[in-house]
Amino acid sequence: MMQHPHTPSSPRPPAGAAWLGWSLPVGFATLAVAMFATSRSSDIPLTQSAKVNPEDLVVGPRRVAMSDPPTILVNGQPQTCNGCHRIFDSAHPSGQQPNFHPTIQLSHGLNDRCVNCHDPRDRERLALRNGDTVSFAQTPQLCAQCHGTVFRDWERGTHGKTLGSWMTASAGQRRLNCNECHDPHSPRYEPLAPLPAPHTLRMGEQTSQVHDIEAHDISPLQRWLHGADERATP
Amino acid sequence: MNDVRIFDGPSAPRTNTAGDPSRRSFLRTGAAALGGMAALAAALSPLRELAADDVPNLDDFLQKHYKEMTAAEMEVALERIRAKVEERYGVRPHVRDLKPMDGVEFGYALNLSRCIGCRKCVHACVAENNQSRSPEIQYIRVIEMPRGTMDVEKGSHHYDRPEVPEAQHFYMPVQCHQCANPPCVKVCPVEATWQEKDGITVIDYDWCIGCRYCEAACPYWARRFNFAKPSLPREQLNPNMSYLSNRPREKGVMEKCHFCLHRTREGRMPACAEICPTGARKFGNLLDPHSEVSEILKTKRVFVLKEEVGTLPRFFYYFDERYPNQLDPDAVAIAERLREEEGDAYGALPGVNGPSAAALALASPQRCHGARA
Amino acid sequence: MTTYLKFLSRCFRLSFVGDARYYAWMFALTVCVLLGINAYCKQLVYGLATTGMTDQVSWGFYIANFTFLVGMAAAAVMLVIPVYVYRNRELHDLVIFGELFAVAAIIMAMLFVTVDLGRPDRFHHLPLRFNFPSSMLTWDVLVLNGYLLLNLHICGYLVYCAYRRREPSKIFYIPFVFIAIVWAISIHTVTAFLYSGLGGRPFWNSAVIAPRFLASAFAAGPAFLILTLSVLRSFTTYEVSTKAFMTLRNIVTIALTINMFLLGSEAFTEFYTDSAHVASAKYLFVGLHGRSALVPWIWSAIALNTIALFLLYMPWSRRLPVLQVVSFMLIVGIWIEKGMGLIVPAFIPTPLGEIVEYLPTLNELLVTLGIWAFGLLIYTILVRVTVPVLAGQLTYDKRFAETKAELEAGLAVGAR
Repeated sequence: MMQHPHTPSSPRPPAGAAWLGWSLPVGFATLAVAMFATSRSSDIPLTQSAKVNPEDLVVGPRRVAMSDPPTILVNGQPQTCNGCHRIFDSAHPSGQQPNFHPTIQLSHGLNDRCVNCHDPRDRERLALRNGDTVSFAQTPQLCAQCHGTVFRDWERGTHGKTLGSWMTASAGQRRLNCNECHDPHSPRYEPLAPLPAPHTLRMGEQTSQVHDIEAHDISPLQRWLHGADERATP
Repeated sequence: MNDVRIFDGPSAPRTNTAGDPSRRSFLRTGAAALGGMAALAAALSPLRELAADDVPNLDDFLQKHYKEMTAAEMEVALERIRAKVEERYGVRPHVRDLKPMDGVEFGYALNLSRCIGCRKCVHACVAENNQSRSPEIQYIRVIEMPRGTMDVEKGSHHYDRPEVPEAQHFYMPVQCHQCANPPCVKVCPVEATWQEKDGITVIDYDWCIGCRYCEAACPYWARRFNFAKPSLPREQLNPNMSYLSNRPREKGVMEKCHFCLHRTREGRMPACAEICPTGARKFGNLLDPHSEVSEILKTKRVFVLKEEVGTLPRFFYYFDERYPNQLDPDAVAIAERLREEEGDAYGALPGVNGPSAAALALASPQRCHGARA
Repeated sequence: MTTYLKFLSRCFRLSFVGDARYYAWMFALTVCVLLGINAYCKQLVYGLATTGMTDQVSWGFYIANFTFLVGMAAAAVMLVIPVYVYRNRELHDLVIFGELFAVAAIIMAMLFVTVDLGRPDRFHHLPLRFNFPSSMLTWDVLVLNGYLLLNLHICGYLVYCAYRRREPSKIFYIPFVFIAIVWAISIHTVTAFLYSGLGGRPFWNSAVIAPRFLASAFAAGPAFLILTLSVLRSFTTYEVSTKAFMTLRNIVTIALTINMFLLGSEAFTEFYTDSAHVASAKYLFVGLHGRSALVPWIWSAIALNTIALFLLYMPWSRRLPVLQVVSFMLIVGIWIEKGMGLIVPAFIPTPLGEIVEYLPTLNELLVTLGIWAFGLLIYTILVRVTVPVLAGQLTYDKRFAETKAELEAGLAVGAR
């Protein structure tokens, strides 16, 4: 059972002993000195954000499209197309590098013949399948022949890039043409180097967190996508 | 009710055994009081480090809430901001208070099939909106998601590759969703954050008390707090500012994406949409049926993040109908086979000028629906 | 009026009367308060970056302690209800110590919110644009201040009546006592709603949070009173009956049982469902993706609470020393469970799936220590003043020196 409240507990020192009286000011003084000494220290792990090259933040089209009328550099000199093609009609079998166009890497799927797009009669025009021709500034109409749904989306503004204003009717708005993002000869959108990853206050730059996903967290869908189902191997 | 018994506590008389000469006791008491005062002064000594412009002056202290300021009072507040920016960064900024436009409700749409995860939007946003570089504050997070899941927990925020996109992943940038039913606005105890007529949820940086309740309430982790005094190099300051958007913030207040309202309320694109190299980011007026976002909402398969939390975002995600980020290998294989069977029988000058319609139809990732032109 | 001011000044002078141990205790608390002030000044200068908090884990130790202390304040009601509703005579004289602790706890809780603010200099914006009733934080401001006033009134009135040797008039405090009962429940409920109303934080978004808060508060609060009353019993001449301890023990036992039951219900729902919402709970109990800073905390809490509960059900805990140890264990257990175990994991992983861990920094711990010390300082002074007043040693018609001599004599006798 419990002790009676009036039972005397352990003996204690007489109240207000001299040593104790002086220990208060001494204690306070020590504390004051300690706090003054550390008043400037703080433990904030502030990290500087990673530098970004200003060139990476320039607004504009991804690539410079071919001018209209088109010109190319031959031996450092600008040349019109017809300057040469008046002389050479240059029909190449598919998959062959054109002689005077060393920089062109044709990688447009099955569309691998120059004259599929270029008008063989006038190299400064582009040829449509119905026999009409369009200028180099009108590439969307050419691309639309095969990429119909993309063209439809581009016309609506749901595909492709718009610069300037968000206002539909605004004069400042400019929708980029196909060839301002895609190289017509190799239209796959080119990969980029990503800009720096975020820092986290107090954890700094983290390694790319690749989670060791526990077995039961992997859905059948993911297993199928990664071909990770060992039951499938014979 | 019981009567109050608290009076009859025991009070037995005791003899006095403690006895000190009162003079010594007085000395000691004085010394203790002195020591205590010294310790208090020492405890307060870090306040010496407070920068002069960190301490609010009387004008800052008396400044009214954004919604209560008259035009003249706003002009005074703007002038104070100009002076402060000039003092701190040596640049006279162009600061104004831009109001929402009539007939405009902003919406954002992001094409997950097109986003390549290059993080240009993140850093363009930082440059435009004068975010702190140290500690780092960014409004946009890009998450690299493995295919086959929409669980953000399986994604990576810190991916670092030589090139993006990586074929087995898709990229999902997240920023403030400018919700129509914003939980952050609901919880703010001092109405320092509210939704404007054009749908943008803004913060009065001079009114926020820094309780971070909104940060806890946001299901999209869109809000940021200035844990330390924000710092940015003066040559990187963007002098085009407005009161509710990108003017420099103070230590201890919240900030977040505001759809670059100093640009968008003047008809320009937000910085993130303008920098996006792929055109995955689309911005516009939801009330205009022909705007790009309206067209997307009409024609695309659109979804919002965490619809179940009922926030009704104005930030939409959508996919294109296509195999993400690469040509469909099956279609290519079929086309190759057709080519082998038919031989290189067409394409010679000046006859047929293209592959057969059948081959084209197969080769194209989309079935060719014919041009509209 | 002058009598009242004289009363206050006498109370102030009385708080300096005590023996060496009293002085040592008060000195230690003062040192801690000063360290806290020092740390807070640093926080004012360098910002909340001096804490371990980040945008990912935006509330930490401060809010954890705030939550715990609101519960401690609410727990005073566990003494009031038996006395005023069930007419328990044993606890009758002890109610006031519960109410005094509520005062100290509310002050501490409000200080914790204040130090958590990024801009304490803008505190006046709160009344100017009070977002009521939309923001639960404004509700919390109202109920906490209301509860503080209620308790200050009840305690102040009773103590002052004792000082004036007057019988307290029932209409001046009994209605307030009953309002305070309801109010005490409300402060902790509103604080729970602060968290459970957030749809973006599945870990908090659960209806069981408010009941769990109350149950844990009603265990930790009376446990704290057991410790306080033990101190009173051995250091002063104040009468604390064994039966009073046993009543408190019963209250603690039942509340802790309910708390453990609710914790179990919560854990079952999370883990058996095993939906995406389990991530935070997983992080708390077993760790997530190799990160497990909170795991030792929560298991210590569960171990402490389980052992405490086991001991409470055993007859051994009828012995005061055992009861004291049990009380201490469960206070620590619930402090962890409601603080680090309830506030922090809701932020991990973030709504975007990022895992950033949180540990309080030294500066943050010092501020916390300072506030706790300040609260205990207030409570010590309140008790130090109240005991002689209620014992009739300090009254308006007595000279202060007389009272002082009498008290010092009492201390000396205790030392025999």
